[in-house]
Amino acid sequence: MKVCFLPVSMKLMNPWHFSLELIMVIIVFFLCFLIFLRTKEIYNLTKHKGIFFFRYAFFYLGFAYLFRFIMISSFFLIDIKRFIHPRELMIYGGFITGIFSILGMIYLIASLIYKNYEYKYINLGIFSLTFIIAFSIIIIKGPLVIFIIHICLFLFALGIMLFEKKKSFSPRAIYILLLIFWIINYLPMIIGRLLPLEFRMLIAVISIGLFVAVYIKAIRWLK
Amino acid sequence: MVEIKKRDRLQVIYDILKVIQKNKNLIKPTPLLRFSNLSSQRFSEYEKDLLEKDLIVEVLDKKRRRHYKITEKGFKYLEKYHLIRGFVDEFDL
Repeated sequence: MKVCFLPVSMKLMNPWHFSLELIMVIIVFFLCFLIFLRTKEIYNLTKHKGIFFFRYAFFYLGFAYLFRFIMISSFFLIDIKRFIHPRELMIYGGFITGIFSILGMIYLIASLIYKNYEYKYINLGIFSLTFIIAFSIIIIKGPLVIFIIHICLFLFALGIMLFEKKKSFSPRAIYILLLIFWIINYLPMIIGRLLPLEFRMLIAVISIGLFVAVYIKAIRWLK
Repeated sequence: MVEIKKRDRLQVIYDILKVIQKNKNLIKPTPLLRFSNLSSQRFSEYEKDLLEKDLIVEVLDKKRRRHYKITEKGFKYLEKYHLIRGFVDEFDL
């Protein structure tokens, strides 16, 4: 008997597209998880606020990529209409993915600006902002609001990274690219269709490359 | 003109631990304050912080005078300091 490992109802996403998404999520999630785990020791020793924000930024970004994959797979791989209305899935799935990615973006920004503010105000700010965003997503019930929030956060991050007087340009450039490529990766959930495979492949390779770059930069100091 | 760079928290903690280590891992609070180059108010903050983080521990001698000793975690901090410094600088944290 011939065994087929792919679901029989796979109509909307071809195996190449699925494999690409799967490879990307495995690598990105694994790298984020490793960054989070391997920075645990230096965080426990120092309780450094910057390290705290950095660790959680990658923790949340890893989960954002994981939930994005789950969402895209359920949308484009199986005939989801039989189980749940696509709009409902878009609202709840988009909500979970959006929350993780927004938290990831906010923590990444916080790792750069925390020195200028009191720690308690930053934490309060993060939770208030996430709370407001979560409610906006539920009330407005559309992926567009998540996209707009992403763009606003990205522009805010861009402003901070360009105008903050810092020593090194390289981590900020990587962060900017990480955010840009996350937004591009998030696009299928906004427009409701997959991007062309060739373009998708390029985006996946660059996204993986950015996470590998962060991991290599971090691992040099995490022996 | 020589530029004097302000020590950050990581550096101050390292310097305090280094002073204790150089004193054969046993020092009284007063000389520690003197060698750490901090105001008494800032020293108190760091003293509290180091104790809370379990980087140092308070011990009493036979005459019940207070001394500080570095803990295992404190030695780990000293050992890893240059890597931690490198990491923080690498990512502008």
